[in-house]
Amino acid sequence: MTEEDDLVGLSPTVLHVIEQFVIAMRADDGIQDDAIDRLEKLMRKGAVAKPDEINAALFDPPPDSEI
Amino acid sequence: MIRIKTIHIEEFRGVRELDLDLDTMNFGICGPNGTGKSGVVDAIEFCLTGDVTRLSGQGSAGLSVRTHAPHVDQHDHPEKANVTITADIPSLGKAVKIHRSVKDPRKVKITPADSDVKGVVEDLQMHPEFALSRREIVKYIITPPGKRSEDVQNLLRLEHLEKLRKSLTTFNNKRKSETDEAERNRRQAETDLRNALKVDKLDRALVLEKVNEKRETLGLQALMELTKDTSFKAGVAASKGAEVKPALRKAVALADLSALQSSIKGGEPAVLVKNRQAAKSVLEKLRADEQALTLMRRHGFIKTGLELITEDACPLCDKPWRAVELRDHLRRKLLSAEEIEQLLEKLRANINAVLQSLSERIHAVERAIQYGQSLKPPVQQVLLAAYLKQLKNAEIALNDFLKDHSRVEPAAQAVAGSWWSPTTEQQARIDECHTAVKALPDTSAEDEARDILSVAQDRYEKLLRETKTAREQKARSAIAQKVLDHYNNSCTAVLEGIYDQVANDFSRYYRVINREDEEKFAGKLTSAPAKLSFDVDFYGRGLFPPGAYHSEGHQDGMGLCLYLALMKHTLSDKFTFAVLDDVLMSVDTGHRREVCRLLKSEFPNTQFILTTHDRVWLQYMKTEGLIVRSQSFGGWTIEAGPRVWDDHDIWTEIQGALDNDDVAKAAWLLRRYLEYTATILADNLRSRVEFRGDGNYDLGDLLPHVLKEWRKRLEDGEKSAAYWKRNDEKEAIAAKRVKAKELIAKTNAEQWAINPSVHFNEWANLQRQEFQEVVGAFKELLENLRCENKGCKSYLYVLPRRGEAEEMRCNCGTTNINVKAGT
Repeated sequence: MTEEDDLVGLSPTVLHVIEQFVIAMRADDGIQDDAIDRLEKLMRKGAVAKPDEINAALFDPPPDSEI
Repeated sequence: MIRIKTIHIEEFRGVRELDLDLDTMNFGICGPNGTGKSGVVDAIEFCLTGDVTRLSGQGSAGLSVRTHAPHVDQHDHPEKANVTITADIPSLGKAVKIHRSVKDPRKVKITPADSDVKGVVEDLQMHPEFALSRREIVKYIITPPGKRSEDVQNLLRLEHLEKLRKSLTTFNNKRKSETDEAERNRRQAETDLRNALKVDKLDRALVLEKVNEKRETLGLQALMELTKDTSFKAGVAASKGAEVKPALRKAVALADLSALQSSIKGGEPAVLVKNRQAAKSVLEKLRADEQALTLMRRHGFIKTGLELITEDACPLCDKPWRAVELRDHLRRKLLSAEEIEQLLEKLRANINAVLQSLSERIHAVERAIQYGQSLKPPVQQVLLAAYLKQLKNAEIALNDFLKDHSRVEPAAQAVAGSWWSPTTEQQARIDECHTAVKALPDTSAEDEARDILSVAQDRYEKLLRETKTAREQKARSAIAQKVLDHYNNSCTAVLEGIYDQVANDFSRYYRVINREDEEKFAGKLTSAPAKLSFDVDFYGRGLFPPGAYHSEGHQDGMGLCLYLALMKHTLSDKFTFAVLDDVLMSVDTGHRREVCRLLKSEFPNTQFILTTHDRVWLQYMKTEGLIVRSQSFGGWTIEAGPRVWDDHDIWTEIQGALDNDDVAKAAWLLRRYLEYTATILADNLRSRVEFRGDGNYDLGDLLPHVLKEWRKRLEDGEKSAAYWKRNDEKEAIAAKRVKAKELIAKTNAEQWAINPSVHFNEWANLQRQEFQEVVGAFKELLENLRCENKGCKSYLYVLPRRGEAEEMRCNCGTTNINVKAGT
């Protein structure tokens, strides 16, 4: 799936919320930057992130994770 | 969004065959209840979405589109029930033909099948909020905040945010649950080490003291500190057979069994009693309260159901459903159990505390059984196994309940009685174990010290591992909570901005409708995670929920205004089409005109299809220029469907009667029409009419006073223009006044008040030609009272509605006559 495909279906409001959410997380020293990057990437996908995917993004990135 | 040009309906609901020509303009559908109006609305909804809310929404159990959408006589022939809509798509500059048959409601034929055209139709299908019925209108007004949040977010196309919130919440709850479990394991490891060393608490100094006692027995150097790398066994020489780990080390086994015995004898701890009783109380209440239990069961069942939806069918009965719709349907039910969710949160804490104690006891009994089996002869384990089974069943029941809240009964039983004390027979087996272990030959002090250090070492390492795991889980849980909090806060902040805009538009629309009495009205939408509170001003006395003090009519008005504000924000210039199905039935006469003006002035690019059972309402819409075209249904039969009465133009209808030489009918039509128009004009011009308590005014009561007022208002306007030296304006008004005088004279209407015998009652006795002149005179006269702008043509009205009159104006602003005295 390309980056453009990922963004299909997300309204500007949803994207705005994700943007603000990421800013808030980055301002929090307790959350690792690479975990935020993975979570942001996950959330910008068209489909709603599942709990297990969120968990993996934050704590258990796959070994071949790009980030 | 689209603008509808034509609708063709065949054998659908109560309609046999019907064609409506809307020509992309606002359209009114009028008829008494049961004449087929809503059938048309259903047909539009069906054609555009494949669904009919009345057959699939709340309270429609046992109904289905495929079975019940066809006309009753075509019940077994869904292929004959079809709807075709032709429409324009302004945003694409394209026309489209949409056809759908009840035979296959999910299949739609779109012509042309361009991807952008299909996209527009799919969007309508996903979000059918373009159709608003009176039943639905209040859902935005009188509804719990949790439900409103979901409804409003659906309408704003923000359901993705709500789904994301639920996903993050589930993730957070799972992390909490795993943290609880890790903490239970850590405490268990702590208890085990405490038992091995025979200490009451795990204090570094105390542990070192006990370990060093054993080390001293073995002649080893005392340990000076306790770190994660500390080895209690450092320097211990391996004893004979030390490569085989013994199943029973007397000293440790005695310590474990003594701890179990003391624990039982000490009675159930007060904290455990408190948590068990609290859990018991709630679970028993749920068990006794059928409704709460149903909600609870439903809560768990629906949550499971939601996870199982993977295709377009119900996972339970295989009934065809769109997956998206089925999920929404289930979520609506889930949200109705919001209070249950709060209850569960408290219950979870109580149950976790009980589980902690259960886990420790299970562990202790398992050890007792293990020791008993290691003895020769082994201690009979049947009774202890039964006790262990009882404990494990309780643990399973409580864990099951935490995973699936429908499993109330076993959980209630698990906390109903105390499992703390085993039966006397079971207790005897534990004592027997203890006695048998105690009777084993004493090991040497060195061997005992070696055994204790070995077991303590294992348990210490386990404690370190469990502590590390618990710490990691706790840290992850804290991050999960932070992530959820950041999301909720970000979401709330962004949504508050949106809701402020929506609330501003809503308040403005509502003030337009109610400017008479609620000029300072304001509404407020307050967002919180999963909630959207809605409060409105009540005559300056503060903000309250809409249902608190406002009348039903006002609530209907609020529902419409909130809907319009939400649609405007959601679709912006794509809000080109809406069906309002009898949504304003309780709006009073004084506010109807304002509703028409609101729709016309604020949404000039939206095509409204409005249904009403009130003929006067329809006329208001026409008079105010909201609709040009309409269709009236005069009755309905099962064989023929709606009886269509074409009333596109009252003057055409009157002329039709005259052409048929039916003066009586023409006279009746003119009189009814003038009665209705005179009511509007009397109100518009603030005419001084003789008051009647029963509110029944005939034409003679109204029209002479209306015309008198009209002339006076024009005179006032003329004087004011003269005062302000606006000569052009003065001349234009004067010309209008002279024309009015001439036309009024032609109708002879002013004479009615003076000489009632020369009256409209005589019209029916006139000759066709004579009455033709009367019709022409009134038609011309009514034109004189309208704005001359062809795009407006509204009847002029006086503002303000109370107090000294200041202006007489039209809807579009082309005509605005200052009628205030110029001195």
